[in-house]
Amino acid sequence: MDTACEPGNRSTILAVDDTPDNLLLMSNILGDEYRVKVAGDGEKALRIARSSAPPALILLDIMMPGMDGYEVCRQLKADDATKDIPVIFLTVKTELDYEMHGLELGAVDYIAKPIRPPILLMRVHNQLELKKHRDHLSALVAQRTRELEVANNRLKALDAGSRDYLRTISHELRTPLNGVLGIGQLALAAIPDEKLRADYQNYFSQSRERLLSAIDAALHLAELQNGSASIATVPIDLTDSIETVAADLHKSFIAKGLSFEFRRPKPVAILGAEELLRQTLTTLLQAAQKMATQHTDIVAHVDDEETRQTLRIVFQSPNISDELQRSFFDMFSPDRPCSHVEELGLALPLAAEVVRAMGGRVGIRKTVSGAEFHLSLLKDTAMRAAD
Amino acid sequence: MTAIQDGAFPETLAGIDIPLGLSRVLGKKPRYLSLLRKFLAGQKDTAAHIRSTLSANDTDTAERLAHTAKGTAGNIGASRLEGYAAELEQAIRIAIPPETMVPLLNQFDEALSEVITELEAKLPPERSPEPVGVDTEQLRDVCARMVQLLKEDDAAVDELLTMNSDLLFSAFPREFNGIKAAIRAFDLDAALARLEQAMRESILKS
Repeated sequence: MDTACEPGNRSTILAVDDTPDNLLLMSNILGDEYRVKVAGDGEKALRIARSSAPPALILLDIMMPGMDGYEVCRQLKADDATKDIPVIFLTVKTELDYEMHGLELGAVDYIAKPIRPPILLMRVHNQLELKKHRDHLSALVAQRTRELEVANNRLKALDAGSRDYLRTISHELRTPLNGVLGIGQLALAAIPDEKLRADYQNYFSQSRERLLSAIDAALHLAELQNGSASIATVPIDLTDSIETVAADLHKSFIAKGLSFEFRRPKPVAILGAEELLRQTLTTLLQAAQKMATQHTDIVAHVDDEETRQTLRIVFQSPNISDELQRSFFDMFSPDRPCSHVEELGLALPLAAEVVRAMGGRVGIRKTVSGAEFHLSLLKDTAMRAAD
Repeated sequence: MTAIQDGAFPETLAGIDIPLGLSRVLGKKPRYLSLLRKFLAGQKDTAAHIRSTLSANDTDTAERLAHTAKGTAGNIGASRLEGYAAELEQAIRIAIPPETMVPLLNQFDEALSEVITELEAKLPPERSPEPVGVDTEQLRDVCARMVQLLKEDDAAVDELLTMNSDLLFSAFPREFNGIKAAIRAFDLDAALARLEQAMRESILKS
């Protein structure tokens, strides 16, 4: 029946007043809902606030002999252990400047004396609710920050790990692969049937090329990504490169019933590395071939921009998903979506890395009837001046 | 079970707005009575104190005394006295000349005397504790809880004392009034010292 001794989960309020009548009054009003601790002076109030069981809120009389309420509040706010305990001043002084002084010191509210119980209960309740929300919020923020840090560290480790892994794998694959390819060539030569041998030889050659270029791409990609390799750029003519690549791919355009049209036949001066740029253009055009609708045109043109030349390769294609723009060139994206470009393997991320290393940008964006690759490369200003 | 009897609750008290005072303790008469008793004990000599501190030029103390009188008068619903105390406090703070101060002191003194006289005449005497047989285990339990509350500065110790006054009075006849006075003044450190002293000298020692 005597619940006064079983505080349970009730919040503790500390009432500070030099007049016992006021302490009794406050404990009478608040005692049913809260656990009330009392202090008759400022020193005692600070001792209780700094104890191992600090109050959730402090009701502080301003005018006290010795240390007054303002000084108690100032010391509470100066101490990390007590600065977050909300303080409500109790005062008969309701003049504005007193109030301002208290609020400047960090008090959250004022209650005028004589105390009206419903007001006291309501203000205390409100401040405790606010405090609860504040505590909850800061706990939440701290927790999210910790989680983010952990996740971020794992990502960093994973990223560094995957690049090292790629490089190791490339080296480790190449050596035994030479053995396999050598033996394979000998085995092919041993096939007596000429027709069968030719077929197998063809298939064997294609597989070997694909395997070797994948390993090369992986190694190169790893080196570019971890910064152990860089690309030296020289002035080159983009038009020349495109025409060379288009000619190389001529047969596959025809085989797929596609036509390729390049609408900028005059020289376009950019900065790049010739062989790598050709590889990149090959990759983009092959990707366009794989995605384009049969018997349509793939059209390329160049936009002359202020500091860049941007090549656009436009093609018709059904089913281009919205994720494509984000993940197309991303090696580790979980939703690299187009199964038909999957056989390009590492060529797409390698192309993106090469372009980046040449100071350029590459991307894909959805259009009304298909998609377009855009490849921006730095202008060669010297050549433009001579142009 | 409550130690204060409600039967003798006064109908009217000159100078005091009883409904207003009751509203300050959520309408609980026993609590109001104990607040009135506290006022009587604490404010009885305030006018005399203010006069002596003023003549000793201790205006800080005089101002604080008037301030406390204002607050406690407000608590019990003595609104007129509260107003006079407020005027007096303000006058002391701005240090008005003594000849202007005298009438303010007098009106405060008269209003306070009226309230004090009224309370002394009409306030039912606080129920005195009666001797009962002391159960050692019960006493040990009550004392343990009381020590705990005192150590934690918990205001609930006041109610614990009221609920167990017969038992405590009978166990500690000499120390009871001292412990009670300290708890009523919320000087809980002193109350703890007195209680522990009483326990050492009682049947609880060993």
